[in-house]
Amino acid sequence: MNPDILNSLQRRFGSADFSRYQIVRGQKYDFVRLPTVGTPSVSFFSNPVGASDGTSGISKTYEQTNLVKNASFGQEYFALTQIRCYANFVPQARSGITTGTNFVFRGYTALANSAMEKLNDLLHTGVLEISFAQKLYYQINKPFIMCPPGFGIDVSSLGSSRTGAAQETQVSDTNWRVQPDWRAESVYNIDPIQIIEPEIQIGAVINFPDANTPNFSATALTTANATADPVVEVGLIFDGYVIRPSQ
Amino acid sequence: MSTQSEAVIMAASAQFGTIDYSRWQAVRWQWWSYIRYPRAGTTELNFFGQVAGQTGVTMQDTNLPKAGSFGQTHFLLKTISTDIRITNNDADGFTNANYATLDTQTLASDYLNGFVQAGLFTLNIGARPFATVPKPFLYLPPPGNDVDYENSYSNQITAVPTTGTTNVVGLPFATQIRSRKNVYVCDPNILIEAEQQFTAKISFPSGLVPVIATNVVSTDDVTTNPLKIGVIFDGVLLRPMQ
Repeated sequence: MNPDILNSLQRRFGSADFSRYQIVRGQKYDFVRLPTVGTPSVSFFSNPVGASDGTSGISKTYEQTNLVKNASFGQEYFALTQIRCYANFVPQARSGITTGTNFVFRGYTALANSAMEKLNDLLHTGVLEISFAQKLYYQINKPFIMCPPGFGIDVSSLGSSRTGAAQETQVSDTNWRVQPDWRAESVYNIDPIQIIEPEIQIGAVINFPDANTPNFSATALTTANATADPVVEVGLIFDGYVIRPSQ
Repeated sequence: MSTQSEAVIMAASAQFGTIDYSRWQAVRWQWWSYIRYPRAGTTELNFFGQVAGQTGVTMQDTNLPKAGSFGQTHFLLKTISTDIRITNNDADGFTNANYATLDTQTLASDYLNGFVQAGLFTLNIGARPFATVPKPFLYLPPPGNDVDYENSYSNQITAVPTTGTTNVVGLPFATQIRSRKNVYVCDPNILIEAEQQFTAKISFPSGLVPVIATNVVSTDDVTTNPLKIGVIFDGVLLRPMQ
């Protein structure tokens, strides 16, 4: 069909006005579960909503990603202004662990390989690589440090406690928790901004070339010294502007 | 033949009306809506669907004049926030006997590993999505700035911690980030016109996330300690002059 006819039809009967564009702040995000025993790399934006998470096999919902098409943002322009990386434990209810009403990821420094120690190791490693149409655009060392999420929880006190076990020679403040930087001003800004055109192939991966991610199996977890396999998810968030035709 | 009704109404409004629609006033304004988060969790929570004065809904819960819209005023949306509140944020009773469950007294476990770490916020105006934000309690922190907490670690049970003695040090306490710098800014701002229908909801499509601090949060609205979560829109209210 002649493009002029298409344009004419679209102007008269179309559901979108491609001569006017609307700009809205928006995010493109993908959260992926880490294999419990560790992995040399984590890929993002490869499984859209409805597809299975590569590690857990659980069907991804909009809580994990708003990608509607494999490795592309579909028919929208996206202006990338910030890159944010996230890593934390999934909520207790989704971790498959039953520890009662009290759920504390033990961080006693006296306990070897505690959950927080392993998470801390994860946050200080990795190389993020982002490419568009197979061309490398960003290569960032220690992405959880360089590109923190800019959000989190304000912990005034963790309420250190001890059970009397011999290994817990405890003094004040030995119970600790780690999270990436929550300050909005700390996020990695893209300057100049990067336009990602519709249907551009997106590749995003965090590689861990020195060693696999920590093995979280049999991690000291509760105040009763019980061990479990906590589930960790890592996320990549593109913050910026969605540019779409007016309706 | 065309009617003169519009001209007649405009003339009558100009002479006898209580509102001058040719001049508009802009005021900084917040709209808020809080609803109860069930102890068992839920798949979806819809905000701005109730108005103050309904059964069990006070001005502390919402200041919306009309369900699902801002009524006869325009609103320029500048920031979106979430908030969590509980009537009795009890941090008392920190004893040697209850140290193992004490963190639930202040919802700390829920902040660290509960519903606060999950969820999806969506804002639709008309039927079109204008925001889809993951982990809204983190990504869309509350407005304003926090009160100043200090922790003295004064509840140590034994005077000198020694190996093999059960003791506790410090109160568990966690909140959302409350800092003006962290508030989620809608840039560019979003204009929601008068009577425009919108929906704001927090959903949990990946599964329910029950409250961990079940010994604190009541099961319904009427008893002492319902857990309520809110969505707050901050921006500029645009209304005709009087």
